[in-house]
Amino acid sequence: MGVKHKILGVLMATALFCPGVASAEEKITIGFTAALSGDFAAFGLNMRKGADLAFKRINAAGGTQFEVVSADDRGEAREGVLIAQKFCSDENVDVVMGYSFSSIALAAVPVYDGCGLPVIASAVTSPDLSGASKFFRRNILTDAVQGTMMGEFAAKTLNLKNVYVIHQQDDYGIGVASAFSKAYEAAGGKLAGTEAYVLGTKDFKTQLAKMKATSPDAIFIGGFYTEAAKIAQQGKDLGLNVQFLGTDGSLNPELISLGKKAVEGMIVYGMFDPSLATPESAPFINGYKEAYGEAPNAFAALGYDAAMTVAEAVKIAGQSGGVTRTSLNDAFGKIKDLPGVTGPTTFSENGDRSGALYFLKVKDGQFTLAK
Amino acid sequence: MLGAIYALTAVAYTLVYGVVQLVNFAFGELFMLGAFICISLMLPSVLLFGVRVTMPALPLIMAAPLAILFVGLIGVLMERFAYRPLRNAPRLAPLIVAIGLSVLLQSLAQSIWGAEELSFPEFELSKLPPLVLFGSIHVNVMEIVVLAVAIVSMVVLTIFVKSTRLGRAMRATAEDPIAARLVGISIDRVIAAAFLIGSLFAALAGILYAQAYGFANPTMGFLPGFKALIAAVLGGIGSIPGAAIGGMLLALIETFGAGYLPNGSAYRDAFGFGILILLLMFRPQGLLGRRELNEAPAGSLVGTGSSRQQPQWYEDAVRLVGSWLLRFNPGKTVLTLGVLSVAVAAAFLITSDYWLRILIFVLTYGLLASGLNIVVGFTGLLDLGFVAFWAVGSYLTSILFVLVLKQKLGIAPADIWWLFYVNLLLGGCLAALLGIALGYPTLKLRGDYLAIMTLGFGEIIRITATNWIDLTRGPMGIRGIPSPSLFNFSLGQPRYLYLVGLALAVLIFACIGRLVRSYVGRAWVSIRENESAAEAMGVDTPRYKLFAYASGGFVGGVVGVFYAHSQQYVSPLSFTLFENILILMLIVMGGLGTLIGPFIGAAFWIIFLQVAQDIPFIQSHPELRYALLGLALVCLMIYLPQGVAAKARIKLTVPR
Repeated sequence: MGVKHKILGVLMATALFCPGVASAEEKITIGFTAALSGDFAAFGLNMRKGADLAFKRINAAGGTQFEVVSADDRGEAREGVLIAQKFCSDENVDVVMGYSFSSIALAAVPVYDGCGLPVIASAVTSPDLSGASKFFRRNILTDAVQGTMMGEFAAKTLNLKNVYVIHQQDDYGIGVASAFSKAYEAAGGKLAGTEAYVLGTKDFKTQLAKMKATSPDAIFIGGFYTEAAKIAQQGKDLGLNVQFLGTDGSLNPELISLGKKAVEGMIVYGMFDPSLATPESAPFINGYKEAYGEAPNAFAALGYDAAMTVAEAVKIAGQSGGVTRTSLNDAFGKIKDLPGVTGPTTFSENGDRSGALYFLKVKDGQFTLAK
Repeated sequence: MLGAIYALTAVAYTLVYGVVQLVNFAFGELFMLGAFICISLMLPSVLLFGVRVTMPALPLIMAAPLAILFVGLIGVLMERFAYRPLRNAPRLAPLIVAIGLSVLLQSLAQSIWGAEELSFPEFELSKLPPLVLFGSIHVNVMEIVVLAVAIVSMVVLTIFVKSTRLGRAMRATAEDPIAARLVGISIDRVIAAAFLIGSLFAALAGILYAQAYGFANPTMGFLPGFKALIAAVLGGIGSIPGAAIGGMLLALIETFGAGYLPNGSAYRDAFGFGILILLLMFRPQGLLGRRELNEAPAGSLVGTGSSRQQPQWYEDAVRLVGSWLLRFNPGKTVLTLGVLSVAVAAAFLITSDYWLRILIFVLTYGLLASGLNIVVGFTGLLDLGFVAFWAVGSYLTSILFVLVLKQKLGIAPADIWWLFYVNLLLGGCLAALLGIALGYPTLKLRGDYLAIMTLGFGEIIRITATNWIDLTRGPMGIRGIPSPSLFNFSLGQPRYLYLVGLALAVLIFACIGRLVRSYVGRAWVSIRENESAAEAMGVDTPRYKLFAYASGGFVGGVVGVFYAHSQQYVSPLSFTLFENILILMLIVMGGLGTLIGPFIGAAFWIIFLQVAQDIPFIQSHPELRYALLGLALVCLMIYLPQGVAAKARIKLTVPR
């Protein structure tokens, strides 16, 4: 161990004294930050697993090497700002990935603005982040866009007449529920009512009884799979046999293992379909299962795609000169329809991505494409 | 059913509190461990540390008792190694140890079982169809089983405490530990038994909870544990039937409030606190509590006795560091100026913006902790709602600058840069007023009842900030707050922000220093040391208590304004319950009732967490960072129960 460190030290010293000498193999350092412990650590860990898999493959193919330094923000704004500054001050960091909470990304954006470090986030969906900074991009659709698509789908394709909306009381839940409600009503649907719950609520029985009284044909759950599974289960216990609709927050194999039979028939949407093996996604799904012994979810897929986007941006930046923070940031803007496991990636002016949504139905304990 | 679970956990709190006057926060984590261990025993195989391990796949009826016993063992070990060394330490030291243990167990659980939820396996009883009563009420068989288990275990416990030898010894110890020892009761055994029984109850509650909601995850224990504590206080802490009634009542209020009030679900956590505050205002000892428990033991918050004999070199080292730190008091002008010049020089010598940012946070949290220190450290009032003042300051300036001036009136922030400085005062004054308003109803309360009530206020304010979307933009937060500037010169760079923060710190530090040495400070310390005696000596205690709340609040408000402008973004995420506990922890670590202590605590906490990010094994196991922190907290409190800077405590008392 000690010897290894010494060698490393010598190497680093050499590197310090020979600036400007381009090495044969360039190295790109990615700062990865998300909530990796505490509540909701699963999202961040999945993103990182996806990204790690991508970088392992890219590195194995040779050429530019990618290295990830990770920092856990634990879902606390205080840590988020410090981590942003840490990446900014570390000259080795070329680009930042991750982010599980919109509010932490919003707190970090002013810091990145100050140092011109490009960010490509994968799990933050607040509309407030659109155009928040010219250095901030994300490869996930915003709540507003996703909710609107679902609202139209519910009214037009599913022909639901009377939907009750229940959402979690935070930026995510409020954003998707209000977009859903607006689009659904605009398309001719009728809202039976709206309820809210706090993230981590376990008991929905009184709220469900209230919903049952209005006899809706469907319940739209704007929240994560943990609560969605409980709502469906407790709803079925109360004899509420309606169509359940969910969001991308519910698109997770865990929804089925938690909700069991109660979530059968539930329709959710998402940017990634684990059952649909396209030429792009087949090697990802198989490689992921091989590496981690479990099926990938949407966040793992988005993390994987974000990593691929970074590699592409490095390639573009490399073609037109050196890879710097500025040239990388410009390169992200030049990416056009980069194929990925969640569909093609192009970033708009305000840093959002345009893309398609899959609607998936739980059938026999599996997510399958809904018509 | 939720009531039964709250009640069982509340019994755990109440039992241990009754015997050792300690709020063992870690029961929430024992609750979680009970659930995890039980589920693991019931599955045919489970991933532990990412490795698939074959498990016995026991039925619930066998897995549950095994898990409960195992958790009981952990509880006893916890008492033996973490709490026993602190038996005679100041009262807040074990509280911090409890928080440290809780963080440690939570992180370890994530290491062992992973961050994903573990779903509860199906078993015979859960598959039965729900019973239908009166045609419309659906009741699960398991709900009846939960209720029955809770009632039986509580009856058994009551009989045990009433009529066995150990139970009687427990009651005697709760009544008067010294007298109990005199009549030949082994205190250590009684306390260990209380922890054992408490842990068994917490684990049982955790298993029932997990089966009811179908899952277990590493952070599942925090909220129910907290609710149970409230239930215990509601019922009158120390009383077993009180805990049962408190648990049931709390669950009823929450469920009905959430279901039947407009938008009730979003505010559900506020109901419990609201009821609690009302109850404590009119009946400070809880529903079934005894009056004398509210007459808190005098002067116990800071304490004087060293808990155990340490080796000579260790005592010497502590004394040396302490006497060195003592010189930092503002009385010693030269040294203070020296420290100040070092702090100013740091702004120009440190080239890394990252480290400057870290220092800004150290200053921010150090200042917040200094504000709370007035209330807790000098006046001896255990306040857990301090975050509210911070939030008020932050939101005042954010709403004014962004939502009113920029968005409604279209005034560019740059044109009214001076408003930041006005807001510093305004935010402080508003928070001070709030301090008086919130302090007033708590005047009758003492000790832990006071702590829980202030905590209720803090939470109600945070929940309001989250849900009153028209005013605060709720969880979306407010962004685009301008950074401070002077005329046309922006102070947004970390270097200048640090200097602004430092200037604030010097001002506030000096003010607190003067205040504490004045007549007011002496009055505060007399309240801390012995409230009844202070009153007897003619100190107008309500007045000085309110003054302490107001001063603490003022500091919190000022820091809030600075915080909002240095972050340029505020959201309710910054003002959580955990931040509350964190700020309290900073002062206990640094030393209660010292001027420099809060800053030492803040520096330790923030720098530790940042440096730990880079340790190689933290990179691959991020959750272990908090495990390390928890461990460090426990060790720190066992070896330095008075805090790092205890020797620098301003001597306003006559040595006894």
